Amino acid sequence: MSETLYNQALKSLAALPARRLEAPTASAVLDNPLCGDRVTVDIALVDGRIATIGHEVKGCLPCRAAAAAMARLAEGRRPAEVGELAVKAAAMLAGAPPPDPLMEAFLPARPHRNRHACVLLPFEALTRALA
Amino acid sequence: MSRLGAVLLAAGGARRMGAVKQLARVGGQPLVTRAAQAALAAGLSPVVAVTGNRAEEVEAALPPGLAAVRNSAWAEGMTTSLAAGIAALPADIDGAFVLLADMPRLGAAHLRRLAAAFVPGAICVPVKDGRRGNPVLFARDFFGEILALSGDHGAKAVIAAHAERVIEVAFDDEAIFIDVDTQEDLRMEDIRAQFPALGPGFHYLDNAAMAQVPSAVTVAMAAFEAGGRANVHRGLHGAAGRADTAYGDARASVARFLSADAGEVVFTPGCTAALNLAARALGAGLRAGDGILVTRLEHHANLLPWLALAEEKRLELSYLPVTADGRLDLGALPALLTERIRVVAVTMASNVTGAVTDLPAIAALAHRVGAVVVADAAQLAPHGPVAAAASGADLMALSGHKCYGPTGIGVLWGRRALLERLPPVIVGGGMVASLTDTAFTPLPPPARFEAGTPPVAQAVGLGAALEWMMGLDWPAVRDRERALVARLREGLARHDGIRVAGPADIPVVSFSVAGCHPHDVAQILDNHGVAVRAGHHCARPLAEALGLESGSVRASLAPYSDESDIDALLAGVAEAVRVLR
Repeated sequence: MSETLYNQALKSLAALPARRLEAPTASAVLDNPLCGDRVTVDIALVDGRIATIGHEVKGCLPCRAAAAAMARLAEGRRPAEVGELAVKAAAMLAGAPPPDPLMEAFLPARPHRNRHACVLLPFEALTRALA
Repeated sequence: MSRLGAVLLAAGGARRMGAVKQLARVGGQPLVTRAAQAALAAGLSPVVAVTGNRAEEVEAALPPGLAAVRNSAWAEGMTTSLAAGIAALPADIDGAFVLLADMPRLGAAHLRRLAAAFVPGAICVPVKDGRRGNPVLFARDFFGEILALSGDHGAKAVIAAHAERVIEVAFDDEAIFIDVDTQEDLRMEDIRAQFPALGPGFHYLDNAAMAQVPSAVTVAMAAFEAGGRANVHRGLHGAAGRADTAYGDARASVARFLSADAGEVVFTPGCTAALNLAARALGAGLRAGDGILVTRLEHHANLLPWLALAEEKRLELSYLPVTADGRLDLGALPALLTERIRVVAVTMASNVTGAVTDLPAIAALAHRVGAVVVADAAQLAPHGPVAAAASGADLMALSGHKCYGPTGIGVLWGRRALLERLPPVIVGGGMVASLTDTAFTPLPPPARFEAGTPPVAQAVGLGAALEWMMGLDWPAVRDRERALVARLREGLARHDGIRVAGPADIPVVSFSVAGCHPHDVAQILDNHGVAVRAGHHCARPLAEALGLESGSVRASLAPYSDESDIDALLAGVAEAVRVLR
């Protein structure tokens, strides 16, 4: 069961290197007051596209993995194209199909409702940064 | 479907116990009664109890529906009783359990699980993690061999001789191993049996957040709520009188627990509410520039009320630091205790490090500068009665749900002279002595602090919980808790990168696992049936002071905690290290 939630795909995402951007176009910091997780997201916009995303997570493994997935899904796309990522991620945890194969790593989190916020926090931080 | 019966062995002498073990009471019932009821509830028929030592008393403890056979040769060994029981079974039975009277955690569910695995000709043996336990279910094919046994080793030889016929039935709880051999075993099992929540595979180690509730509490609360309840301090009818008595008795129980007078005991909706009441009532007499000394060991419940008060009234808030091992740094106290300090708010035991405060020493210094000492006993009180006045505190708060009582109830104790000087914070019904169009006079304490309808049922429950606590053998409880904490520390020390934060004077052990976030560790522990708390434990200043930025995993014990809880936690930590690193 532990292996299922903490599956290899999730752990691989969480192990990806992460860093803040030195000169972001926009940033957002979001806390989960229940558990104390904190996600910082930096965005660099170039020619109307999200050229680079930086992020820093002080949080659990699913949260770190979600930040990495968020960055991969959003980079290179226009803000309007990723505006609903947070909604789609929440819908996936509620039972909808994954918005991208990359998100399949988070499917085992579905029954763990108290961990949904951990997965969603980076996506919500992205939404905040784009606002 | 097979017809299955049982032989309940209840004839022995229990030499190690120094008493007739099968008559020893666990959860209010003799052990033999519990075993017999489990067999009957599992649908076994017949259940044959074999008696011998003090046979009449043992037979009197058997529930209706059991057949009893006396074994006059019981002193010659268990096999004589086994044979007597097997011989008394009917000829058309397919198999029979051999039940021991001293396994208090075995229930009907265990027996049903074994029965479901039975096939004719089999021996069903319960097993956990490769280790075999009891009871064993024998097909009738083996009755002849059992009748031929001798000595005091039971039917193990029969099982060993027929390995190919053994069906191992997997269990995930320890009930198949746990028996009562010593007075300490009996004490422990009696405690556990009073907590219906402590079912198989449930390792509850989150007691510092909320303890489980003994049956005495739910019974007392149900009796009040369902027995014709009424409001207190208002009615002239009989039910109101009974409510007043119940509420007063609850206050008297709290007073006894605190070695205090009932008039010094204020019921509140919780410990946080009690500390807020203390802050607001004391705050009414404070002026801008007055000082409040808190500590970095505090739970937010004994920090935020003072922080809010300081912001509102422009008071100066200062912090007593902690040492690297999670204790209050008393060496820094004299310099901080200036003449401007009017209040010292301090925990009596940390909810993170388990450090117990030397409150008499702090209070002595605080009183020299005329400061009022407000003590947070939320974490200390669950570990035994507290002598409030002797502690040096002037006001003391405790929580009901951490003391094995219900939620929604807490206590603010205060020295009578101080309480009489403090103004009410919440006003309303039940707290005024006189009232005009322009003024009112509050009643004396404690009524002046209990405006409105108090949480009567919760108070009754808390009273029952504290009475239950006062009935415990605390030296024995503490000895056991110390041994369990040592077992936990030793187990954690086997892993690299695990740091225990604090001395755990009370059985509260917080630890961090390098490379593993506390929430992930707690998640994996949950998969092992282990409930712990992970995070900052509502003590952020302390987490920062101890360098625990991500928080910690906290295991907190209670008198019902046992070795199986610790071992399950350690197994979960080992898995967490393997999976997360």
